[in-house]
Amino acid sequence: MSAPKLNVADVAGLARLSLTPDETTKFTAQLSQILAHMETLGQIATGDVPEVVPPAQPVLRPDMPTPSLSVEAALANAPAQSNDLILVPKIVE
Amino acid sequence: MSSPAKWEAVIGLEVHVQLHTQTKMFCGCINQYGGAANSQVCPVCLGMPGSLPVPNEEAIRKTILTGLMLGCRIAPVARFDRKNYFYPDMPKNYQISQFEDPLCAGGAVGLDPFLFPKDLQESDEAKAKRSIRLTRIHLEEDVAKSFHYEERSGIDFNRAGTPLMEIVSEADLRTPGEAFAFLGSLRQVLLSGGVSSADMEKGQMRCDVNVSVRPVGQKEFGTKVELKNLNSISGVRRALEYEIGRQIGAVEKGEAIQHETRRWDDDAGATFTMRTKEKAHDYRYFPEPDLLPVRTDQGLRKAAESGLPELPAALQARLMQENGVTAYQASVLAADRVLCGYYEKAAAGTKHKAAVANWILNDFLATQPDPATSPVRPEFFGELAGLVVEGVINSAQAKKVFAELMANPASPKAIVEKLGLAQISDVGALAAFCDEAIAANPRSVEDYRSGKSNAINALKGFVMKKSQGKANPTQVDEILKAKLSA
Ligand SMILES: [Zn+2]
Repeated sequence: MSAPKLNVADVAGLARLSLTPDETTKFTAQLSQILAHMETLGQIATGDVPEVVPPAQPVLRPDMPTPSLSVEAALANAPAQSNDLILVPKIVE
Repeated sequence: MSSPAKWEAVIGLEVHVQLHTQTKMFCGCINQYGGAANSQVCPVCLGMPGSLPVPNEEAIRKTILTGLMLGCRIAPVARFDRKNYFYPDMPKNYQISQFEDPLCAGGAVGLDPFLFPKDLQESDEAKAKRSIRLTRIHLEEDVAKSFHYEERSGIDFNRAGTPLMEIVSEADLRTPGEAFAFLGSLRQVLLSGGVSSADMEKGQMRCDVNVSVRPVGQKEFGTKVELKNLNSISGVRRALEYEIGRQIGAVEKGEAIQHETRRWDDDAGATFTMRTKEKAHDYRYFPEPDLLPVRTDQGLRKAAESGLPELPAALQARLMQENGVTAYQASVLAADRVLCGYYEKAAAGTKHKAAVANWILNDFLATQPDPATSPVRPEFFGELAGLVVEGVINSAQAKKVFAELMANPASPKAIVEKLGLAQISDVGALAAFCDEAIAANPRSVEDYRSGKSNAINALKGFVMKKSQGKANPTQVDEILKAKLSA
């Protein structure tokens, strides 16, 4: 089974996960198996199969306001707040 | 020294536009600024676990409408995707956007010559009337607003989740002036469809610019630089002028252009490195599992079609052809639909449609009116134009009527009567004035008869003075000439 190119350390970095070298090795093996399994789907000839068009529209919302939360409720779970703003570690671009 | 003929710039724009809707993209919180911080939020736009997005039909309709106005292909089936990244202004850690199947693809923005910077309107680049291709238009949600303090940042989620349309151009633009005209022309179309107010200075339209330089004639693009922090259409022009000069200067010195994002500082008039792009962003897009694909072929496209306005180019052509206004006037009117509506009302009841355009675009506009609420009824301008063309008042008198019209709005006919301005067009009365003038100015008469045709002006002046400015100047001219050549 040939798995597609996979760099677990990269993906973990994007997801802000810190993995130990052992974990990286372990997950690389596991994820490779999963991806290799998915690759088998590619063996099915789908050239003549028309694309499945969703039968129905998703539920759309008319453009009508509904009540929002109170500021108190909105901030209730914030770890830190000031002047009704949710405080977070300083963001620098 | 950089020689402008040797290098050309290649410019592409990504324009974000805030849509005019009552509510946010995926929840019913109101889409409006100025409320107390975090007062227009709910579990959906705060990204609370377990909440589900429900798309705003109006935002989809307005995006399709924009695509129709710009000649895009409308996808029969469009999809939403998740764009994954970590940033505190996006509480879900992903933004719902569109990646594989945007609502609109292709299309173009035609550059209106009058929407180039004033100093370039007569230039070849303005006259070329180029059409700039679009890559795509998609719909996404805006992020929260952040405020930065000494040690921390504060987040207001009122803007989070509001509908944001992204319009991406092909790298077809070649000059800062074209980028300026592109944004102005695009804004005109967006305004005409009521899609957005699209004011860059208010953040309703935001623009990122990609720019590179290459030797004229080269096919391959140079290394591109992304410019950010552009807060006005003229700022985009200034930033591009600077950045193109900087890149040409660097290349001519043999330096390589870095693939990077640079920040425009309008006060300094320069761009500065923000971050280098060693690695392309990997947003790990995948189809949004909480939303079904959107079918536009089941009513949404039809609904958008029914809202199609008369497009700026068509409106301009009609006004020039049917009303005889100039190309410049047509462009001004097309850029301001409220003013245009006012003008069309004013012109509706009169034959003198071009004269009405002059009054409204020169005199009325100079008073900085709000045509939507002005107490001066548009029909008054039709009437005023008629009074001049029909010779009831002359142009000097018309200026007086106009001033009175602004001060105490009333029918121009009534104003003419009130101010006792009506022009004297009675041939007998005018002839009497002319005889008086000839008798009182023998030297001018002699001069005129000896070939100094300008001498007639002294006689005309005499008549105008005697008649307190009420004599019909065209008739006076005719009568005097007849009498003097007799
Ligand atoms: Zn909400």
